[in-house]
Amino acid sequence: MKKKRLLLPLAPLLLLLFLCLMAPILSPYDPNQLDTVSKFLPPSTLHPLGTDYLGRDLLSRLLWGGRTTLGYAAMISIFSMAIGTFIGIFSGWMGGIIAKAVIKSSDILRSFPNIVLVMIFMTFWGANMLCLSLALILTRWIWYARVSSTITLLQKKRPSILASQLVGCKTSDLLIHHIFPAILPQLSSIFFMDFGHTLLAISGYSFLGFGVLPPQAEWGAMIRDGQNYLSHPEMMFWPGLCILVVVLSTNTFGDYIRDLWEEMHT
Amino acid sequence: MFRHLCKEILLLLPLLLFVSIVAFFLVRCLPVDGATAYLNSIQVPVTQESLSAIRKELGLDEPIFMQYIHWLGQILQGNWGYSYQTKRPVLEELGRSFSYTALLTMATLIWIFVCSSVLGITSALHPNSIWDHCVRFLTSFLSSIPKFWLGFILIIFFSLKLRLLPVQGAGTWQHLILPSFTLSCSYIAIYTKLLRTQILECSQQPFIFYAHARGFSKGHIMFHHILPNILPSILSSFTIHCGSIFSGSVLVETVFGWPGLGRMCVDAVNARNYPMIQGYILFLCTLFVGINLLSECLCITFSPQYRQEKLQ
Amino acid sequence: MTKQRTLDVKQLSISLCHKKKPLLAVHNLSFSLYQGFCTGIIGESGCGKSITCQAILGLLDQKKWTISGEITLNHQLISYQNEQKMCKLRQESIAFIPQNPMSALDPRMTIAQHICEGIPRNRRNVHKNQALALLSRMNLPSPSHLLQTYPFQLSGGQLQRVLIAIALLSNPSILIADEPTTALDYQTQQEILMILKEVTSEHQLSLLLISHDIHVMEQLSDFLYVMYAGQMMEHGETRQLLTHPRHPYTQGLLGAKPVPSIKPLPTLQGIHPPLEQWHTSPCPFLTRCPKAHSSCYLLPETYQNRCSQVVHL
Repeated sequence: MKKKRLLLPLAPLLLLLFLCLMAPILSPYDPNQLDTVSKFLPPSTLHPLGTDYLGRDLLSRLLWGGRTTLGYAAMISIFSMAIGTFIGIFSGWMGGIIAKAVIKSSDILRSFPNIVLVMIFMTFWGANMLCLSLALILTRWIWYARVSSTITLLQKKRPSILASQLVGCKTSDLLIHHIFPAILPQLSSIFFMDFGHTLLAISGYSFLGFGVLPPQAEWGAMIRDGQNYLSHPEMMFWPGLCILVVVLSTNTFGDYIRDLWEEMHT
Repeated sequence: MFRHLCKEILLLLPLLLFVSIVAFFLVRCLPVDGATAYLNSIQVPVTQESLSAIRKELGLDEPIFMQYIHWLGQILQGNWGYSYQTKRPVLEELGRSFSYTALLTMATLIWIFVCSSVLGITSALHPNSIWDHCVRFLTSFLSSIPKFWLGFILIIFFSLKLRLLPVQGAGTWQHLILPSFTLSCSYIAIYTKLLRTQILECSQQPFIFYAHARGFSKGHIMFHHILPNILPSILSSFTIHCGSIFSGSVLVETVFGWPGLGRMCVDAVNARNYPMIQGYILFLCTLFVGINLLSECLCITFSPQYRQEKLQ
Repeated sequence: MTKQRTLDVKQLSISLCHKKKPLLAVHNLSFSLYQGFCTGIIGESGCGKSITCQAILGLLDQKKWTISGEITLNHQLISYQNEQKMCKLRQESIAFIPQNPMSALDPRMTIAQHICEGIPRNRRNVHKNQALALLSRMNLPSPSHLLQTYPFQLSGGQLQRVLIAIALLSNPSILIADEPTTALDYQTQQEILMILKEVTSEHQLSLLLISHDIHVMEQLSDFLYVMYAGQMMEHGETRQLLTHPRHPYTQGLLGAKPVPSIKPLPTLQGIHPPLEQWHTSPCPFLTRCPKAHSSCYLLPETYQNRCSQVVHL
């Protein structure tokens, strides 16, 4: 695989990640600092991206909002992956009804409208970021569980695994040193694509008012703020562009890993 | 086939029952007492007398299992309660919103069908050409773009700058164009990629080679052999996505002010309109079961092998 | 007996462009088909027989394969560039019987739909009746019921007969059968060979039979061409060639024919080389030939049937 294909998606993603991580240092203003006199200012040296309807600097809000969005997306994806992989490997190793139940429920959940489940959580526990994160983790872990379960079921039958068991190898060692490395490539490909989907979901729900509460900066919430001021499109143009760049990069990178894995196995 | 469908319905009934239990207990287990919530919604002062009267009226003093049976009975008779906000029957509100969402979904399906067929078939006919690379980039782009952001970009461009289409609302057919296109974008990406992969895979099959050897033209083979053979897998993907199109319309309906199911749900959650939320959950799950059955029928109709497996 | 030539293949060369280096899959192949006779091409798996078939039918991807040489049908040059003319040719003049009958037909369509595919509506009934006549002639029980079945409901032998019937319905002058009996059991194989023999003489077809099985060639072919690494090693009348093979490769092939015996079966040393290792000169069989001689290195490239005329024979 050419290195160009690898660098192209990674470069903008890493750049954005770095910039958002360095928000406390790089951001010129406090993202929530109001200044009603300077609202809707055009881009200038003082405000590189301009200001919003409350006079808040857009660049600062973008950087801090990125921290929130990317942070939550990463956290949700990592937790879903951890829980899903654990349950998937366990159910695949046990086999039988448990494995079948995991695969069947993932099939049902795949076509089930996720929004219903998220709405149930929102109604039950309130519409804030913690509840949204929990709701998203609980709907997304099943993807990882399904893949891990299927691959574990296949790997379990490998002669090397059977031989190790005969020799007296501990189950935990087998799972960590043999099964998990076999799952890792496909899991990483799914992780990156899932990260993109989670990011879209978080910003979508924040846009609807179910995630981050104002005045906290977040890319989806910034688009929500901008919807009433379409004559000043820059308010929602920049956060949307950032979401697009991140999701496009992670999707492309996930595709790359999947192609690499397929190439290695054929 | 009828017997098989009945068997499928029976298998999906436990799921519906489970969902009804969840919907019922959702409201019962809320931190706010059901009777208090109701009194708040009809703006009656909450006192001991009013609470006990309402409890008796709503049947909230009975054991929980009996309450569930009564509630289920009411649901099956068509009495889904009354919306706290509009005071109209929940089923009526759901029906009205559903008709708008159904219209939006139909228009979305037309966009998906037309765009993904054209892009998918043309890129499969010329693999690794410049057009193919353009289509693949376009599909990556469309699957990554946030729907709500795309909606606003389209509004700014087509409605505000070019003044070709209306901004928001649901009056005429012109109101339908932008929301349906926005909703269809990510699915166009999915189906274009799927069509391309499936066509290229099917073209390698031995029976396609034999069809070429018999002297049929490329067009004949595409429309009489390749496309009909990939139809079952496209249909099964479609039924998976149909549920998400119906539920994913939330964002698009909010952006364009389309009075569909999604927007109704968002308003209900914001206003703590519990009967509406209950009704929405039940309605969407019943819809999901119906779509599953439809997909089963379609697969049986279009694939003789699947039909033989399932019915014998 | 004057033999009428139907298909003439002259100096056919097919090469594949691989990592900027052309790989020669078929080199300077020449043979002819005669009306009412069966011509067989025999060789090991991977020697280029199927590629030759696909080139005659015009089914090779022009972007991947470079084809040179002339193929004439009934003394008219076939122009492979014109896709429309090629489709017409395949529909009317050249018929094909594939190797694996189980996967040759679209699983979605009934046999009747396959038979009537591409036929205008007003001629479908006539076509179906012709098909029924052909199918019953091939000893297929209840052909009218068979027409309503799907391919996955039939056995390999039944399907192969259906494919032969479909091929004959277009009244072709050439019938190309690419290993038609490889996927079938011995009994069915014999039946299919019998059918092919009968239809060749009845319909006065030119049958091009591709196989790696000498038994099949013995029973069916009138003329035999022996192929190795994309080149013709020997050719002649089948009976003559099988009783008095001149080329060491043919001798090795015939020697390896399974016969009941206590002694171990003689085999050809080595394996058929992969495409990247084929060469045109000197002789491609040189590395495996038990009779290789220093003079083999001096053989000119365009020497047809060269080994059969060399000193050490």
